Amino acid sequence: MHTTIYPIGPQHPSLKEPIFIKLHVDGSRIIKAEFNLGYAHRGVEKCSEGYLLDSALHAVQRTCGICSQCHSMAFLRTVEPMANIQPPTKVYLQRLVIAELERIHSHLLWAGIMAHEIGLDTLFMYYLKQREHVLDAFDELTGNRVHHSCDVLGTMKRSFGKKEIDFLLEKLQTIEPEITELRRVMEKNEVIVSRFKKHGMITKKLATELGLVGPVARASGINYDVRQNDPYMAYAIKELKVKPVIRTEGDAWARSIVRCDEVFESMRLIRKACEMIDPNEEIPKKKNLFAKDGSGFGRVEAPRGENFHFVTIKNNKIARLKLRTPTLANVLSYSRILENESITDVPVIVMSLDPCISCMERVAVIKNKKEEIWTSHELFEGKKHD
Amino acid sequence: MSSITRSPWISFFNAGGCNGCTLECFACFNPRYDVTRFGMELKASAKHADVLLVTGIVNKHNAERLKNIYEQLPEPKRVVAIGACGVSGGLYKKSYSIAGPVDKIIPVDIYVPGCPPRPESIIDGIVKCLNDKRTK
Repeated sequence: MHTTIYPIGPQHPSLKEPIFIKLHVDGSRIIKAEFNLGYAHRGVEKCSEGYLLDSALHAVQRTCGICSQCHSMAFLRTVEPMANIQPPTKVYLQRLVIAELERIHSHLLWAGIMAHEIGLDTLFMYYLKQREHVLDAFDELTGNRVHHSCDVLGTMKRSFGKKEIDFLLEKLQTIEPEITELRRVMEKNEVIVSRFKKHGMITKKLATELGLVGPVARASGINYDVRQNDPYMAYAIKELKVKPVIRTEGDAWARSIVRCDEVFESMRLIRKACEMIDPNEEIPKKKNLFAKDGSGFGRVEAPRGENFHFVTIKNNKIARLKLRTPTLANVLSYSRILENESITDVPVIVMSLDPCISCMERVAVIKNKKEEIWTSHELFEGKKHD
Repeated sequence: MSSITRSPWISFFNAGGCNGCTLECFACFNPRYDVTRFGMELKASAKHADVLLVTGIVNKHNAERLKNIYEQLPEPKRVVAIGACGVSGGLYKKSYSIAGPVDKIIPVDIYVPGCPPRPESIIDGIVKCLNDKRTK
């Protein structure tokens, strides 16, 4: 059998981020897919070390441009108990509003790029148009369009008043009918259905084996959502319980529908949270906080799945930061699901997992070519960091 | 030396950024900002483009690729470095995996600072490339 090697990336029309995919193909059938990463590695973990907690928060938020609030929430969920501070409910509700808005904007962007990959550029523009309304809401609520940077330890930079909440609700009112229509297109359009259905199949067994997270796992029938299984901040309030969207098909189409439905679930949560926010309540001012030495971890549900942070603090500074972003869990499945697919379906399958390469790039140092196994005690006490 | 006068075609390379600037570059092409009405068009291959937008700090792995892409741009060519990381190194200035800001690797004509810059400033940066003779 003669195989040809077909390289994709690091700069390629169907890729928005630098990643190198090496496909071994026989005709147009893929026999093996190899991934070469490291094109977006910039040492986020190392750069955050040695910073005070407030500055480290700033650095952590810059890990990803799409889900910066989720990184800051995971970091705060880890650090706030260590600094012995409990923010008031209004701060939690405000963080929820920003995080859920971020989920809407991330899923809309993803749906647009997915349409772009199969050549439906008009649909891409429709999605981007709706996304601009969400960015307007960010602009009004936090002052920034992309990196919101609205969190500080124990509180937030701005308190939402009546004007901000009214603006937000009006924007949601504007986008809801449009997104309903766009979801109908995603579900019924013949071109989309024929390109997405039965491609990139991930069975429930495979998803469990590979430890997939987020909408990808939920589209394969796994009922796992950190907001539901391990509620944090405002998600622990009874009225704001999340109903995860589950589908069992496990193909690219199911993943699209899960993400579309999650947008509506996020809107419901935002509306509920806005009802509960008291516009006249003042939130506490920023204080200098001191955390005791030690380690901790926290996890949140980012738009792409579970986002995990491990932090070690020494002398009120970050001694070690470890991030495990959702894409790191999902990206490993590519080599399995690309096998035996046609080369024309590669963009659809690659994008259907919604990879965020810049989030994901981590590095591992292997010394003396020997495998190192850490016991949970060593990991938690941070003995090997010294 | 010649200059680009109108309708610049644009290619785009993420040299290792956080996606924030990437999003704002794509926002320039969405229905609200719609730079296509000025004749700017997003081209996938650098061989078809006049202006190269580079976002993010260039890491060691990417430096060689960025040089390759720069050489593929036809003359006259212009480069716009976007975002705090691309302009000066930003947060990751002292990182171990970094080859340097964009201007250490290839000549840069226009710098657009911000974290991330708004689409308006990116459009302004591209427009400033026009009718501008290269000094380097």
